[in-house]
Amino acid sequence: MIRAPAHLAAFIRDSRSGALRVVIIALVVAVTAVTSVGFFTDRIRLAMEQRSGELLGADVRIEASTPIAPIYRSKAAEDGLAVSRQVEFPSVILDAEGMPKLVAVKVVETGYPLRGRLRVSDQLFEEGTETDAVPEFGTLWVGSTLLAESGLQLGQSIKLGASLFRLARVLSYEPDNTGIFSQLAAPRVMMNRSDLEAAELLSEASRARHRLLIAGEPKRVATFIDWARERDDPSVRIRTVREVQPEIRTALDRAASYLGLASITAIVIAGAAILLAMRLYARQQQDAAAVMRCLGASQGYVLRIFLGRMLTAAGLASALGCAAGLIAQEFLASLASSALQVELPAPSFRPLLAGVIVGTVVALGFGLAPILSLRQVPVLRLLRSEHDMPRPSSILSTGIALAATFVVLLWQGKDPVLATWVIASLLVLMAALLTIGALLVWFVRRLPVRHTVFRYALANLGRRPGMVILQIVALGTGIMALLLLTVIRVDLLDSWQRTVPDNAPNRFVINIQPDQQRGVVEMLEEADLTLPGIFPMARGRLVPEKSDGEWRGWNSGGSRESGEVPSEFNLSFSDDLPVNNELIAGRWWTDDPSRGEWSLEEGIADNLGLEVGDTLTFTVGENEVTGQVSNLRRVTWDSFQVNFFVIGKPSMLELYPATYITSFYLPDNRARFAGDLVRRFPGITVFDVGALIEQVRSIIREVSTAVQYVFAFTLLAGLVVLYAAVQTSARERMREIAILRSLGAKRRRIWGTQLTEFVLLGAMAGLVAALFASLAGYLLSRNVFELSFDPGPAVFIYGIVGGAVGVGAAGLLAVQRVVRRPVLQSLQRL
Amino acid sequence: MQPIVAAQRLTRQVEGPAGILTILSEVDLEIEAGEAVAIRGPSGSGKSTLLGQLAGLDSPTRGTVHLLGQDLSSLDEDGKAALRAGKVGFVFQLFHLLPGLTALENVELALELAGQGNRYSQAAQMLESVGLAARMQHMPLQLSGGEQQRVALARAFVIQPQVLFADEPTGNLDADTGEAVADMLFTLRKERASALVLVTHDTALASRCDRVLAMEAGRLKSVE
Repeated sequence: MIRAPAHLAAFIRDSRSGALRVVIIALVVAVTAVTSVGFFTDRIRLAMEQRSGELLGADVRIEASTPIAPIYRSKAAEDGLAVSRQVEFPSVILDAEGMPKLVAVKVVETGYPLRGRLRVSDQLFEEGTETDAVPEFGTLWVGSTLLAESGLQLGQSIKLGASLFRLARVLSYEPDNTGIFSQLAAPRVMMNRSDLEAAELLSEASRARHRLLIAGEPKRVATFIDWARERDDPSVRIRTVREVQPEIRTALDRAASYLGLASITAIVIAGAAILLAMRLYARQQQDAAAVMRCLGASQGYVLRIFLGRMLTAAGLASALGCAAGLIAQEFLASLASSALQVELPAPSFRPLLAGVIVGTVVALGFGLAPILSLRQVPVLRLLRSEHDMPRPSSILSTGIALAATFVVLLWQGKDPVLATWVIASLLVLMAALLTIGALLVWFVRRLPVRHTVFRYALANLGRRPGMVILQIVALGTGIMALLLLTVIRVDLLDSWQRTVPDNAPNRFVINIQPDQQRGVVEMLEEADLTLPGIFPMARGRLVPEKSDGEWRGWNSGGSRESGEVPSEFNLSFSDDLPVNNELIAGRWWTDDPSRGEWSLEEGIADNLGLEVGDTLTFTVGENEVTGQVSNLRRVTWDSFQVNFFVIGKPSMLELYPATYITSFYLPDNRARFAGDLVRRFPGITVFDVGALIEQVRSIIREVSTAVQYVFAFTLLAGLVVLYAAVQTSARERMREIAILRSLGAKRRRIWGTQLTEFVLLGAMAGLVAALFASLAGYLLSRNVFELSFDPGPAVFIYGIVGGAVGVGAAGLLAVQRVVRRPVLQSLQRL
Repeated sequence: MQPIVAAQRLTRQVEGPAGILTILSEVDLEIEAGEAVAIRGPSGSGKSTLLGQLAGLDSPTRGTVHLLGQDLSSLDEDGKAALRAGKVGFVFQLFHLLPGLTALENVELALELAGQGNRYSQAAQMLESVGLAARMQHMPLQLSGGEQQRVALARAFVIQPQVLFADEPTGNLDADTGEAVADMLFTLRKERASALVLVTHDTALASRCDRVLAMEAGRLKSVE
């Protein structure tokens, strides 16, 4: 090959031409979208791991219902890891009026928590200040709820077990005690481990949870976890940082889906621009390729030259995109860190690699087909310019583009459902766009129009139907992106924000005895507090069952996230499918009252390895209750309603002792009501999830903003498509305009013809875009985001009018120089 | 001696709106090494099509073409390209320089495709011989029509071609510039003893060749 610098120089000169510049801009947009989202989600992931550590108070936690064997502690210490012991158990204190009050005692020792920090205060319900200390000998730190409900004061001494303790501080925040499920407990009392023995609180029969907190350098922690797992000790459970609150996890998963969608849309739209621009670039380079072939270059040589230029463009654009992505993600991260209330850790460099790979794959995927055609350019065109290279095969172009998109989707999102949806939608979209584009062109060509300007414009559209259909497809895709951005996105995000309505229940009430049920409901109704329902709840212990030689349905505790399942469940029963639950497999109860039936939440069914039709047994009280899994439910966890993993048919469970659970929304200015409720119905527990709700809301709010910024890349990509589409016919237009003007056509007439053509093109593309944006919004909301969404007519008005105005303006802008330029100059440039 | 270019019963037909159109009909032609042959004829007579066929830029409907002793019908597109590389030169009416490369790089490209080394000095020397020593680093668009055609001559002759195909080489130039380019073309051809196949409707230019043939409605006949 001639010297590499010559090719680089040729590339730089090429890039000054419109087509290659569009390719570079489109790639920069795609790579920026990918890297900024990549960096952002990477930092969120790291933050969530850090946060999960805080939620455990450690990197790993060994738990048991009996004292944990000392070997765990010694091994951890031997491995150079920090350790801290903890015991948690229920106990009773006497409140200000001498009434017994159930409390959850947590016994800690110096060093606790190993991850995250405690916050303490001297006032109730204060945010408090961070501390590394633990309660001193002879003192207790207690939760605000306890003081509020019991009437006790700080400084007062109370008896706990055999010892007398002074109430020293208000415990404002325990990192490892947040979330609905961990708060399903009595108010907190925290004491020092050195007080435990003297207080005589624990006996062998005590229902205590012993925990060993371990933290340290990640590799050592991993080695310790492996060691602990290898012991296969049935008496302990190993909890790692993979577990976090399901509510926040759900919100963040949705956020990741939105962000993923936004960046994928930007990639696909940028791809459309690249496809158009590379076709144009290939057309512009036909003579060059033909000269090379004429001088003896093989097809492979031509391919290498132009592939080299395309890859150089991809490399350059990737570098620019990565730099822009780094800057953009800083901004996104600042939004998220305030919502998550954490400092986001520095990102890893993986997204940079992702940016370069995506840039290259997208460039190849969308630009390879025209380059492949270029090598087959007939050399004869040097003698007769009408000999064009073969048109890039539509099947080949589409195939390569879809394959590239699929690779990017899978590699980026690791979400095969979303990837399949996007690919399927793209295929349908392209086929439909082509069909509708062809129908519109056919229809427009047959419009009986007398006005010369209109007639000429329509004739123009009809004269190059292939190009017009391609432009409708490209413009339609661009406008669709804009509609998704402006109209559908707002509706989708609104729907998302509505999942946590303003009056989402912020108090949960548990341990309501059957004889208290009516009274609780009446008291809430009298106070004008709406309650979504009151649900029976019985404790059931899962009976493992042997299936295919493997024990299933048994795991000594766990959570949805860890892939583990608890052995004890809160079983509810109900005649009807609860609100906020969706039946996704099987059917609701049969009419046969003698037949036992269960309804399982889809995640827990998955973890248990159960399907509809399988048999499941729980021990409730002294009895075993067996039934078939009748159906699976999808539960909206971030709705903050009372939800159950397992619901039984009423005829199976209603005979067993149960308590009731409910939730309601309590406005901030009526906070005292909770205390009144507890005083009137001793034994019930009210707990406040307001802070958690606010945090989820804040995540949704801030991430919505982040998503909007990422969608801005889609907007940019859409604009690049508009520009590319107008560029594809710029040369033909230039020739026509120059010839018309040389024949004496007035500028006004030329403006009129061009404007009419662009407006018609834009309106057609807008109509098609609106149709598909509505469909896409509907399908995405239902199948990806699991939200309800009804597209309105506004999207069509925006689409058609916006398309007409936008394409009209962009088109005129593109041709205005030609119209104004002296005719001779235009002709010389052709 | 074997002819350097030979066509037997060469026919080229294309499908047009009015049915099959015969552009070349039963053309027989032999050109010896070092011989200069002009093909004259009015627009649309088929002379450029004949040039394309003889140079292997297009395939015939019937008949055969031998270029440099090789039957073109036995070669695929890459085979024909390989045959041209380093042995066949071209000069076109529209110059067809690569717009992204400088004058020097355009000439170097021909040497590269011919697999020759020492490209820079050969290309620079060639450009000097066509009077463009000061314009080597210029882009084609920065050169006049005559200068562009001189670069094209340099590109064609730098490989010492056994045969040069020229399609209306002066057709896009004014009379004086055209004359100068034609002088250069014939001088270089003579120096290198290259055969020349020249398509033109310029009688004066054609008369500078050893033999003049005329195309009329796709048929070839000798003049004088």
